[in-house]
Order: sequence, then structure tokens, then C-alpha cells
Amino acid sequence: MSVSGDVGKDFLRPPRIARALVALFAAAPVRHALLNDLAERFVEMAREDPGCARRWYWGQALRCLSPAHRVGLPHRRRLGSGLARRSAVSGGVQDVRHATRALIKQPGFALTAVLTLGIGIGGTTAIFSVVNGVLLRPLPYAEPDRLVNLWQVNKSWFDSPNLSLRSWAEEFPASMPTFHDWEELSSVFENVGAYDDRSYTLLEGDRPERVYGTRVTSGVWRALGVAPLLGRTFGPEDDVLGAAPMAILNHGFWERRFGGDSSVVGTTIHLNETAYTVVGVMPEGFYFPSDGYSVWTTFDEESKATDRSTQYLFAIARLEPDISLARAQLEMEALTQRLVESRGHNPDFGVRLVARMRQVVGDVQLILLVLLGAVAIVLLIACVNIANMLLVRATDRRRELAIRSALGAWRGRLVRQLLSESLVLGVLGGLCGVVIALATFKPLIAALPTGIPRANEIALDHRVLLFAAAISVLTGLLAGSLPAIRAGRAEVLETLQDGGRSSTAGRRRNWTQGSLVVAEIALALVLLVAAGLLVKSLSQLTSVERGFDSERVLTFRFAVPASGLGRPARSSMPRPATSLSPEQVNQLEYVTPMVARLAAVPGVEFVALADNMPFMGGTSSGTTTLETSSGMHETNVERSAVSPWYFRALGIPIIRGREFTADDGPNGVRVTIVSRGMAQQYWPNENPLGRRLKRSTLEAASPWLTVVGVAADVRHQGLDVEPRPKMYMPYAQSPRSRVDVLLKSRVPPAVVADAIREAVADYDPTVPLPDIRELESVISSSVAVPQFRTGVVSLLALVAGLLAVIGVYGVLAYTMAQRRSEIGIRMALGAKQSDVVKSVIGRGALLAGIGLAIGTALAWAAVKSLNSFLFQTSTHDPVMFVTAALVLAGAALAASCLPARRATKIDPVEALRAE
Amino acid sequence: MTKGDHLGEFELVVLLALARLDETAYGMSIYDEIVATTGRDVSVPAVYVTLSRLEKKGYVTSRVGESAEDHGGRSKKYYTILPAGLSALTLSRSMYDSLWAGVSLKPRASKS
Repeated sequence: MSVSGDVGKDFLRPPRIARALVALFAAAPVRHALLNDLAERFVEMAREDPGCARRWYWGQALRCLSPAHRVGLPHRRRLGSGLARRSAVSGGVQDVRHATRALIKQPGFALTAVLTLGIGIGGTTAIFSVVNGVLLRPLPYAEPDRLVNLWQVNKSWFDSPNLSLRSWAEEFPASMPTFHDWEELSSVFENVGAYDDRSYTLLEGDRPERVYGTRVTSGVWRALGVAPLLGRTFGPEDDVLGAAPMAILNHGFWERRFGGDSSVVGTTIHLNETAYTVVGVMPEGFYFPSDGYSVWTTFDEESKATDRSTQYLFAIARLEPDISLARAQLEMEALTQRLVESRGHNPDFGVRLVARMRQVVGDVQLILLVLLGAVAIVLLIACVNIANMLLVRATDRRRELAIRSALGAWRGRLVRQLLSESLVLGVLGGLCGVVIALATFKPLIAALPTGIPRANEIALDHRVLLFAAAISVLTGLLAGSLPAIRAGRAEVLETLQDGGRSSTAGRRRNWTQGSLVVAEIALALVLLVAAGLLVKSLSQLTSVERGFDSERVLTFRFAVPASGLGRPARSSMPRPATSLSPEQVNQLEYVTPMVARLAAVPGVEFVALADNMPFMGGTSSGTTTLETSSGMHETNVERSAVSPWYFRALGIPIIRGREFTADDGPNGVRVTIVSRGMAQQYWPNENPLGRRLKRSTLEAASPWLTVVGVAADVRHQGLDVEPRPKMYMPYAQSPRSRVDVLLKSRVPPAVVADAIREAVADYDPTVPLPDIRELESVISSSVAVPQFRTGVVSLLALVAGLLAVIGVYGVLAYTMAQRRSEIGIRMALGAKQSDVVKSVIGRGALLAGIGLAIGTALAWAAVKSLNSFLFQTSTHDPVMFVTAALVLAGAALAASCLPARRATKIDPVEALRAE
Repeated sequence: MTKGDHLGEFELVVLLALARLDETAYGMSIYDEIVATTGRDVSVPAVYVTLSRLEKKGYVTSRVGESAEDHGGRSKKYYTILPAGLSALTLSRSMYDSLWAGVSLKPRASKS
């Protein structure tokens, strides 16, 4: 610190905050002299040692805070304050006791304030608990911020017309050899592991059970760094070809299925008819890759031996201690380049690192923060309301305060007292809020859409409770600061002289109250506009033309079991020609009688199969060559293999031609049905029936398919995804081992669900019971996230609007009460009732008007952040803004009517007498 | 002198300090005197407030001074002891003297 830089004004002035303390808290008779003399002494001291001077000045300033400074003697009663002086600490306790007593004396006010704050703090705490669980709590691994996911990047898919492909391009799975190259040659990772999820059928006990598991290499355990509760994790010896299959159990699964028996280690379990030895159990709270996976197994022999063309692995790695993500990314890109040259990697594939937390949390961050912001706005509005109420209370007591001040009561003490009142309110409000948060916790979790990651980590833990405590104190201080400062500056003489009629102080007070209400209305409008836009977007989404009818449609995913194949054929189907592989033949033979069995269930109208149903996951697509009037055309369209009755079951109209029938079997002519969009795009103004197309390129060996029908467009991947050109093939001509079964029921779906399950169990007792869902509920789940955020924001907007309107009412009621005598005089002098009403409502309209104007400007700027959440709704929709403003204006005007009515009932004589 | 109004400890300290300063001084000088004589870290606001109440009790009087040190428009309040104050000091001293007389500070042997 250079000496020359200190010369100047700064050097010679006492520290400002300390000076303010003296000015605020020193006793009135000595304040002026004290300020002057302390400053002078400070200047003298600062010339020699500025630091010492500052410390000395602060010491003296802090002494002004204690009541002891004003008396210098113990055990003296002070006139007017009615409180015995003690040390500062017990003075504080005294304040709290006094504040509590004052609040008890006014239970109505106290209850309203505590409840208002409770709702605000409770809501904020609840949403914070979600933010905490999803975004803030660390993942249950050692040093989780060092973990990254490794992906390949498929550069050739960047321009694909298929939406799914474009989004998969950046996170493309790896092949086993590529993973081994990474493991062996990368220098930036401590450990690397590969994993892949699977669903298994656990054959243990009486009933087979579907279990979700993950295949992992030993590197995964080393990367995660969590020790098992029992037994051991996998080691490098378990990764090699020929090693015995091993399994590790999840804690919850172990307790539920194996009774928490520690002797399970070393026993064998059967997953998908393979025997796995249980070698360990993980501790409670551990999950990977997400909550819901019950078992981790080693890779099977076949998978270990897959080549570079089979890309299905996820990879996770731990960064070396001093390497940053960015640096690791660059090194891996360089490594990839070297591998292209040295090991013949495909140059179309790049590499990408994503921090593990980011991978897990994904895009949910923005919406959670938006929700937190919205609820914070509501808390702010509640705060403003409380501040207004306290201001009113303070001014009601200003005569009392003025008298006490005149009798020598120490201003700082009064300020402290008022602050402790609002602090007590804040703390009580916080307790109320925590109770509310606890009570609404379970319903909140239930209402969360299933897409929210790490929902299992959401809890009211110590961080959440600390947050609740902090905002209670903050809210209390914030709400009380304005009235407290006001009271501190109460003009004693003025207040006592004019008996509380309008003075400059009074006018300033009204202005403050008014501006607080204006702020409330502005904020409430912002929330209302946001809610309105979200509601509109949601209704657009749910009412969009889907292209199919999901009413009374049930669906379940089915995997043809390996053991089911090779059974004696139940039908007298002729052995098909060799267009199908032997596996496909077996699959077809298994599935066909099952469909017949299901169709026989009473209440079921249609049964159909599809390799992917609408809304049940992605869709497959591929290069297709079309025969058009302008020659051969190669393009990319979506594909689906469906059985007969599919279109009938889903109510998809066939616009031209026909549905698939039982004749479209493996031996029949290869046919296809195209979507309307596809027909219009490639065969405009002509009949597409009879045209031919084939999968893959012109030169490929795939067979030509003849178009026999045109079906209406279907929103396949989601309500907000536009339908793309699509072709359907008969299931019998390309069977799969995993298939979606759909059933159209004549009766309410719940009635037939059990019968369907029984039919499946009856057909093949070795398969797990199917997880039957109603298509309607699947579609509802797809809009669960928009529904959730729309619901929350709407609720918040409602609360905010209500609070703002209550604020308007409060201000008007108070102003009117203050001006009773004035109104009485005016009425006595001949003012009509309607004039009085007009003046009250006029004031309300003015407040609302200014608030709405400011709110509109704020909302106009704020809605930009909602863009990504809206479907077919524009953010700057004037109709929406006007509607929201009108709603709020109407409510505010309605709130002004009550005080206006009361004003007309003022009896002039009484009002004047009461003065 | 008002009835029953003995000087409190701090009032005594301040008044004595003022007495030492040839009976006329302003707030900070009195503070300095107390610090210099007793070595006690005193609170400046406490000194000022005590002077103010001593004035109310009629033991000292004050005037806003034009002394040689005043500059920059900051005039100081100068306090002077009044006869009543001197009497209070004398009374106080005799009271303490009476109490101190015959007091031995050695602990007595315990009775057992």
C-alpha cells in the first residue's frame, strides 16, 4: 500500500459504517458532540497510524450499541423505557421476549403474517429440496467430479434427416475393441470401464421376475471407487475370455429378494438361464448408472468377443489427478487421430468427454432453476406484504414510539425491538414453512415427472433445513428493515404535535407503501404471463392431432425367450421359405399362437404386434430406395414392422389400399404400407399403389417391396415431434425377438389386464408376467414434465396474484382508515358518496396501473427464457399479456371495492368526534 | 444536593478526572485523563453520557466554547465543576474513607 496513494480525503474520515453506528445508536443529547470529537481524535490518530485509528474508532462505535454506555452505572431504572438495563446479550433476549408478547397481543396479525411467510418459505424449501437432490448433492462415488463419460461421435450422422440420429450422433456408443484401445493407450485416465444395461429374468423361487441389470467391466469399479458392503467387486481377471460369470447385488435388491442374508455371497443365481456367482453386495445408497438397477454382472463371452462394428457400450473413466476435462478432451482427440492411422479406426468417428454429473442431470438444470426463481418471486411478494403490514403497525405505534423517544429512549433500542419482532415472525414463518414442506413432501415427489434424474436423492436433508433457516432469518430481516429504519427516524416533535394527521412523514410513508404494492403487482403479472403461456403450450400439446386413437389400448413389451424356441409348433403353419433366418422362423412360430391366445381373451377386440409402438421409445429408420416417376430416389425414412390389425387396433385410418392380412406372410409377396406424408412427398398427385421400394441402396440385396396401402400420419416419437415419412412392413416378413404387443379392448382396460396376464402365463409359464400399461398413461407420461412445470408455475402465479391483491386491499384499507376524519369532513361539507368511492377506487386503479405497466415491461423481457419450453406458442403473444393484465386489474379493482364501500359508511359526525 | 443521590462509580471517576484538569475541560480531555491516570480502557460514549447526566444533576455546567483550538467551525462543549459537584466529591470521599478505615486486606484464618 503506497503512502502517497493515501493522501486525500479518505485518510481523514472515520470509517463510514462505524460512523453510521454512532449516528444511529448514540444517545440523543451527546450524539452531535460525540460525532465531532471522535472524528477529530480519529484524524489526529490517523496521521500517525491509520490502522490503529480505525481500530480505536470501531471500538468506540461498537460501544454505542450497548445500553451500558448510556448509564455507566449498574441497576438504575430509566424513565420511560420500562426495561432494566443489562448486558447487550440479555438485552437481545429481552427484545425477543418483548416481541413475542407484542405478537401474542395481536393474534390476527401474527397468524396472517406467519402463515403468509410459511407458505412462501415452505414452497421455496420444497423446490430447493428438489434442486438440492438433483443438482447439488454429490454422486455416491469417490470424488465424483473426476468422473467422465466417454463417447464416440458419429460425424456422418450430423446431417441426418432423422431427429433421433442427429441427437445420438454426439453420444454414440463404443465397440469392445475401441474400449480396449482407450483403456490401454489413454494417458489421461486413472481408470476406464465399460458398461451396458440389460434386463434379465431372474429365475429364483416360484415366480420369475424381471430385473434390470448392468454389465460392467472391472474398470468401472475402480473408476467409481466405492468399496462393497460384502464380498468383492470385479477384478481384471474377471474381464478375460473364459472367466466365470459373476454378479454383484444392489443393496435394496439384496434386502428385498434375499432377505439381507450375508451368506448370499458365493451362491449362484440364474439370470436369463445363465448361472452367475454372487461375489459381492454394494452398500446402501450406492447406485449406478442410476437408481433402479438391481444387479451388476460381468460381460458374457459373446459380448467380450464382439468386433468394431458392434457399437453398444457406454464408458466411464476417472481423470488423472491434475488433468482438466478440457485437456483430457484434447488428448483423447489426438489419440483418436493416432488410432485412425495406426489401428485402422473409422475416421468418421470422433471422441467426446462429458462430466458424469452433467451426463446424469442433463437438461433438467434450466427448468429447476426457473422454478426456483419463480418461487423466490412469490417469497419476495410475501415479504413485501409482511413489510407493509409491519409498516402499518409501526406507524400505528408511532405516538408510543415518539413519546418514548422524547423521554430518552434510545433510538437504536427501538430499531432493535422492531427488527426482533420481524425476526421472530421470520423464524416462526420458517418453522411453519418447514412443517408445510414436510407435509407436502410425499405428494411433491409423487407429482414429479419420471424423467427427473436422481429423484431418489431428493430429501429434506441438513442442507435443505439450513437453507430454510437461512431464508427465514433473511426474510424476517428484509421484511422488518424498512419499518425499523422508518421508526428510527420518527420525527418526534412533529408526530406529537399534529396527532398523527398527514404530515410529510405521513406522505412519505404512503408513498413507500404504494410503491411496495406496485412492485408486488408487477411481479405477480410476470408470473401470471408465464403461467398463461405454459398453460396454452400444454393445451396445444395435448390437443395436437396424434393420428391414432389410444382409448382403451393396452400395451406391453415382450421378449421371446430363448427357451421358448424349438417347442413343437402349435399351429399347422407350413415351414416358410428361406427368406427368414431360422431364429426368425422360431420367433414367428412362438408369437403367432400367443397372439391368437390373447385375442381369445374376453373383452379384447384386436391384438397386434409392432417392433416399436408410438411413444414407446425411439424408432428405426434407414436408407430406402424408391421408384418414382422421376427415376430412382434414395432417401431416409422411418420404418416399422407391424402385424395385421395394427392399424385397426390403433384407429389409424387407411386412406388408400388395404391393411396387412394373414396372407402377407413369409412366403407371400413382399409388401409395404406408406404414410400419407411419404406418399405426398415422393408420389405427389399420383396413385402410389403398385409403386416399389426397397431397403438400403439400389445395389443392395434386399428385396423390392410393393406399396399396397397408404396410412394416415402418426405422431410416433412424441406429441411435439412432427411426423416423418414412414413405411410399414408386415411383421411376419421380418420378425424380431423383442416386440411390443398391443391390445384394443372393448371394456375398460383395468378389467382385462389380469386376464391378459393370465393368458400369457398360461401360454408360457417360464416368462415373467408382462408389465401391462395403458397407452393413454404412456402418452400422459410423455407430457409429464411439461405438465409438472405448468402446474407449479400456475400455482405460484395464483398465490402471487392473491398476495398482490391482498396487498392492494391492505394499503387502501389503511389509507382510508388514516383519512377517516378528512373523509368525514368532506362528506359533512357536501361531498357525495360516489365521490368518496371514486377517490378510493381511483387510488387503487392508479397503483394497479403503474404496477401493470412495470410488470408488462418486466414480463416482456423475462418470457424469452421460456422459449424452449413452449410448443406452438409464441412468447410475445400480445393477447396473453393483455389477458393477464386484465385479470390482475380486475382483481385489484375488486379488492378496492371493499374499502370504498366502507368509506361510504363513515359517519361524518363520529369521524370528527374521534379525532 | 438532591436527596439520596450518591455518586455512582463511573460518575465519580469522571468527576474526579475533571477535577484534576483544573476543573474545566471537554469530553476528550477527560477521557484522556482517565486513560492516562487509571490505565483503564474507557468508553468515550460512556464518558460523554456521564457528563451529560452530571450536568442534569447540577454537578457540572457546560458551555459551548470558543477556545484557541477550535477550528473548522467545530465548536466543543466545555464542562466546569460546580460547587455542588465539589461537595458531592467531598461527601463521596468521606464515605469511602469511613468504610476503608480499619480494613485489613489479609484473609482471616478459617475457623475450624
